[in-house]
Amino acid sequence: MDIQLKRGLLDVCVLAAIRGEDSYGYKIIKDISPCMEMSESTLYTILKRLEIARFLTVKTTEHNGRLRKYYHITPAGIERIKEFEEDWREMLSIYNFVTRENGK
Amino acid sequence: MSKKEFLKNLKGALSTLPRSERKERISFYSEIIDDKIEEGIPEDAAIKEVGSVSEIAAKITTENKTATGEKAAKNRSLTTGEKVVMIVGAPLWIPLAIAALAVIFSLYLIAYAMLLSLWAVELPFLLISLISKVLFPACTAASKILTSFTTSSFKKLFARRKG
Repeated sequence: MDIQLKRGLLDVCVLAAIRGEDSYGYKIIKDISPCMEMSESTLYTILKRLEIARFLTVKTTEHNGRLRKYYHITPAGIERIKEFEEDWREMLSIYNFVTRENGK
Repeated sequence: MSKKEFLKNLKGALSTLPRSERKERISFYSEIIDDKIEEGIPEDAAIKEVGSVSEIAAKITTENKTATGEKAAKNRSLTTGEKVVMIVGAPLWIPLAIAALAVIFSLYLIAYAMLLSLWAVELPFLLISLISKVLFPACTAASKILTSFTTSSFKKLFARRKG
């Protein structure tokens, strides 16, 4: 798969994992795992990228006497997911067209 | 391997990274291992799941390399064609650059000269005001004394004549 496309998909997957409620590293990996395998180092890179792009904010809170980082989606992050949905709808119609032509 | 050992080894393997990034990555792994243990996975199994230190380090370096590679591609160095143009055009652009620098320098000079002249104009006014504030009251006092002296001596003179 095209690297740029794959990166975009990973970004949206992580954003979707924190859309409902704030989440943390291990939970994000677990929630995404049915859809795709993601290593810790990959997740770190994606989270960093999303933070720099201001699609999410990070909050460190105490949990069981240690620190845990929670990731919170921003309005821009929600907007990014919506954009993805629209793009995908467009892609899907193109896909449908392409496969129909092949069938003839 | 214990978590402590794992993190220590990871720190060593990531020694080429900037300090802040290394610290952040290590705390990221530490948190995930703790979460795995909290879920009931034994410590050594949790660490195995995360992967070996060498594997992780290799992955991070390649990921960072592609990231910096993309950056480098964006602000790439000059192509040979551009270099040739630079060298061939040197007799033209070097004097132009010098002229531009000279213009900028002269503008600076003008600005400073204007400041200096304004200050020079201001100085006499300052002096005058200072003098009037200090010397003027002294002068009036002196003239008062002088007038009172002369009038009194005139009075004396007239008084003598009358007498």
